[in-house]
Amino acid sequence: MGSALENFVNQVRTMSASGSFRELADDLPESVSLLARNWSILDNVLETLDVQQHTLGVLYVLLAKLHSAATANPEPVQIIQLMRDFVHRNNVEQLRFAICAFYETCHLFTDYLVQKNLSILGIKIMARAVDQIRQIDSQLTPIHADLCLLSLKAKNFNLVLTYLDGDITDISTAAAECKTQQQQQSQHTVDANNDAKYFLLFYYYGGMIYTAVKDYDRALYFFEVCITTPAMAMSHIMLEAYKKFLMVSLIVEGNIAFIPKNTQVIGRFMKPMASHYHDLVNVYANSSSEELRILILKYSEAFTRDSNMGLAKQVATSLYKRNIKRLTKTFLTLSLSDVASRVQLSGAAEAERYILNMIKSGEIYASINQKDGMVLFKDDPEKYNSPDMFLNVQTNITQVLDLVKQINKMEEEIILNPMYVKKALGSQEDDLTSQHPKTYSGDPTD
Amino acid sequence: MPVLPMPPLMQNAIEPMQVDAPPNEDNENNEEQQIVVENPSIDLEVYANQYNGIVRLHRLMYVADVCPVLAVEALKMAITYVQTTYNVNLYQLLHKRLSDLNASNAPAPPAPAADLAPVPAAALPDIAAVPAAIALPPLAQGQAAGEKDSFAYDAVWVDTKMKKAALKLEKLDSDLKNYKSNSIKESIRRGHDDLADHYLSCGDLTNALKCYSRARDYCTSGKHVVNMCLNVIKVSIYLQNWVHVMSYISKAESTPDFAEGSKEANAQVHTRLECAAGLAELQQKKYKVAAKHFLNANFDHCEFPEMISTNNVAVYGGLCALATFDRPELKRLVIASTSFKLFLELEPQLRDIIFKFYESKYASCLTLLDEIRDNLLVDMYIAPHVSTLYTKIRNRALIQYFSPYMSADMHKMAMAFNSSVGDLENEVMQLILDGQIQARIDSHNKILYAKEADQRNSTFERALVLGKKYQRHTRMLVLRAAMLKSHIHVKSVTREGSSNHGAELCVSAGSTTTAQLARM
Amino acid sequence: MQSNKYNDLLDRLENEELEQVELGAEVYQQLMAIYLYQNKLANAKLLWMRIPDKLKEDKELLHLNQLNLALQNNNFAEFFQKIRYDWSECVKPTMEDLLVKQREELFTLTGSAYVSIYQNNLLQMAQMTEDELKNAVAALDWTREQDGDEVIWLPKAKETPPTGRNDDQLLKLTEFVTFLEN
Repeated sequence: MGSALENFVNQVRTMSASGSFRELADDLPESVSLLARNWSILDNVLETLDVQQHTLGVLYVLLAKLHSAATANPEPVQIIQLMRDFVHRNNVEQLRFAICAFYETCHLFTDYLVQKNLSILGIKIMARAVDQIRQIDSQLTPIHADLCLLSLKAKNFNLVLTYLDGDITDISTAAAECKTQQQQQSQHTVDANNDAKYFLLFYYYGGMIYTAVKDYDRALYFFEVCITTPAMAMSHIMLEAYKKFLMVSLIVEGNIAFIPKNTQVIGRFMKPMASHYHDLVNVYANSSSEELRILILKYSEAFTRDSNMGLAKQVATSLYKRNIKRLTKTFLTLSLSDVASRVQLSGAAEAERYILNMIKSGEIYASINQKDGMVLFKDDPEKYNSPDMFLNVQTNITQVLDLVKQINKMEEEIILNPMYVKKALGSQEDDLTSQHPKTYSGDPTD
Repeated sequence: MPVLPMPPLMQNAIEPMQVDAPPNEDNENNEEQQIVVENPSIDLEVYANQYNGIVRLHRLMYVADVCPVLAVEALKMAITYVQTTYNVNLYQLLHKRLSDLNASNAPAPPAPAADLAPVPAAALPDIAAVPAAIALPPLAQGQAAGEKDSFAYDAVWVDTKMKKAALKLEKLDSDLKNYKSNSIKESIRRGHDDLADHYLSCGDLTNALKCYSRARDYCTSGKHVVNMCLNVIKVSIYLQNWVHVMSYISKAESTPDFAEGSKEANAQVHTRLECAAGLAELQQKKYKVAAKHFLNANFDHCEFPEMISTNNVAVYGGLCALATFDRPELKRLVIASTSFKLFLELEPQLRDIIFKFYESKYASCLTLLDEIRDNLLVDMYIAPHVSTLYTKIRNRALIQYFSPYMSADMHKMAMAFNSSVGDLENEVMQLILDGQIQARIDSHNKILYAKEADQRNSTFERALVLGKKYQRHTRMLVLRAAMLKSHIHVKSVTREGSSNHGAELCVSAGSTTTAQLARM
Repeated sequence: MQSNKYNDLLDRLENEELEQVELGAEVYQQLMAIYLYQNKLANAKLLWMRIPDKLKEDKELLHLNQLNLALQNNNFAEFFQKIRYDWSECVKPTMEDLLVKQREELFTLTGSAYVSIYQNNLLQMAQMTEDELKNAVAALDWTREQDGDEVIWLPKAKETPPTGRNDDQLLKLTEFVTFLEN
């Protein structure tokens, strides 16, 4: 082991022993290049350190290992084992002094697994990493995006869904973490941009995951967050999210009811670049499945290029279903062949199949009479008087009240924020009392 | 005058007109040309005499456009009339149209053409080949001499008219310069108006509009301003610039002296403005507003042959009202209106239609509507709106018909509306989807059932939807607050290079995954 | 029979998938079978997508996926045809449960979705013999009718559960709506 490395080990050992973790965290970034240069003997270094006691040292060795993975070409199993070991046995208090390095390690690790096609093995590790580093369950970290990417690549969503289902109320960013750790200032702007990137990616990947498991409502929410993120320029992530947003919106709502707020970016950059998708929206509004089918065929190349062909097909199916639903609103009885001709299906048999499927999934209420080839549409039998429904309503009420409480709490925090008070007093024309939380939920420190 | 050839022709060789304000409704024309075949109830002479000036010419040309049977007659009338003006261009154009028309009819009467072999044989290709018809005069003259046709192209007339027009223009121009150098406001204003009148007579609408507008700076009284507005409105109507029309109407109405002046004159101006407004709103498909404007017209002061006839007011107002008013409005504003009654007396068929509608005799109402359809379709202002208005009227009738019932036999209903059960089903379906009829169709037994709304259920449904929306919205808000607090926003320029690249990579990497997912 | 019958096994298998490098076909077979039984078709679909290519040649996995596809397309006939298979021991009990469950499902669905259904169609969907069908239908108290040469079945209409109004609930809801709108 070279003397420089020995110095490194000694530094880690002594400073860890004396509890000078902040100083250690400040010094370590300088050792990264040294460690990476010595990639061949890093395992020896690791042997001299203990994950529990020397969390920071081990973290930087891991970081160096991942940095040099391209040249070192280590055994994937070994890397995975090291990471698994690290996230399970590290000391979180120490880790907090080097959050940025930890985030970076996780990003590199994710890239490495994706590249090696072993994504599925990273899911639990990254989930554990998220658990460790986030301060509250509703905090979003940059490595959430990694967890999503691994899950998408592995096509395994059981675990990640538990992370997606919760609501986010706070965001941890590399920019903020690094500032407190007084790291290189030049790094700062890059981090801020990366923060936006990982934020967008989390919501974009999340939207895709929900789309894959056919939870379109939630997917729409995620895409919407993605495209309404404050932006002065268009990110390609936003553009892709916008395309998917339009399609999912058709599936969920049948139209684009919501017009995103930062219309400038959407109007100027995204709309022209997503013209095919706008055509789709317009044709959908005509309710003609035949026209829609022709359009999708016409644009199939573009949709395939954007990897949205599957969604386009879902959009087409949703129009058939929507049209059948419209029939249930206007007819008590209708012959199957009329159904077929009205919604442009190939014939009575196909219409029967669609209707049967929709009855099964509870989308419509109807019964088919094979004897005279008629279908009988019924009203939703829900009478809103079952105990279940009452419970449902009550849960809803509780959820809303909880949200209100949360908002009130936020309001209080903001009112008590000295910066806000200063600002509010500075500009008296802003009537304090009339301000609803919404209007100043913006950044008081800005 | 030789007997007019009346062939059952398909007149698809209509030249696009070059005048300033052609009534050019391309897509409408197509269907109308086929619809208008017989037109027993229109006396073209009477129809044309209701108007003067450019309007008469435009209307006649529109008739020629959409109604092959009347085309030749209309063109000839227009030619006769245009000769009373300085509109040489239009004269030439009308002649070209007429000869084109005759040319397409030519195969029908080949025999007479034979005696004059050299003349028409030479004339026809010439006409077709030279758009300006300048090469025409000698031939046409010969034709005129040979045929004694009073509708032959009169090159001498064209020549003298053009010279006269130029002379007059020169004179008016120099007059105006004179006034200007003397800076007598009133004279300058009149000079502009005279010049505009002359332009109008020549058919140069753009210049007419310019001159009328220029008079504005020399108005010395409210009356002058109103007069200027009326002139501009008139020309803007010819130009079919409806936005312009509307803005000058409000200009006129807001002129301080507008309300003053003699009652008589005032009522006339008022009615004129109402009619212009009605026309403009009608063209912009705001039928209800249009109806109200027309209904405000005063019968005793409704004399504007250069704009609109009293019959027009009756028809436009009546149809728009029928299409957009509910029952009480129809009763109060149309049927009970003493002033509009006078208008309706001019159009007894329409009056019948309105009364039948009000008496819920829909079948006869709809039959009568069908009967006047052809007459409406030769009217350049209402024709483009006929089918929309008819649909609206029909829907209104359907809604009213069903409103008192719990269930209705669709066979009977179809009978009442002169249609088949299948068509009726489609119509009613659309109305149900639009929420205009609360009902469901039993397609098996062909019965329409009223649907009673369950307040309790809909309350629950609404509450749940609202609650969900509220939660979604609030969550997004909380998240947004977090975003702002953490300074999450996409920046420009600096990130373009490095980060965008990164983003792109990530996206494409992710996308491949969805590709597979989506294909499932 | 509860659908969480296999939950413990499922947890174990899912965990295994996340941590082991080389998995045998058996894990996937069991996972697939349980997903199908629990009607988690999206999961089954995803599972099939992530199964390594070389394992996709496994006969039993292939067969399971065919079942999955049939269920996704609501193709009962195909499903009941394909489930007749000599399953290996590790999925056999699950498959037996699945068959029972889907039979039940079929009759519940047809019972509510049809006013009348031709016996031939029903036989085709259920892949049953006439006698089996007769027994199944008799248990549900369906009515048999003759329509020309064909037998047609009229499912028994379900009686709607008794309804009791609760003004108290409505009141609370009204308050809720008022709250939301303000």
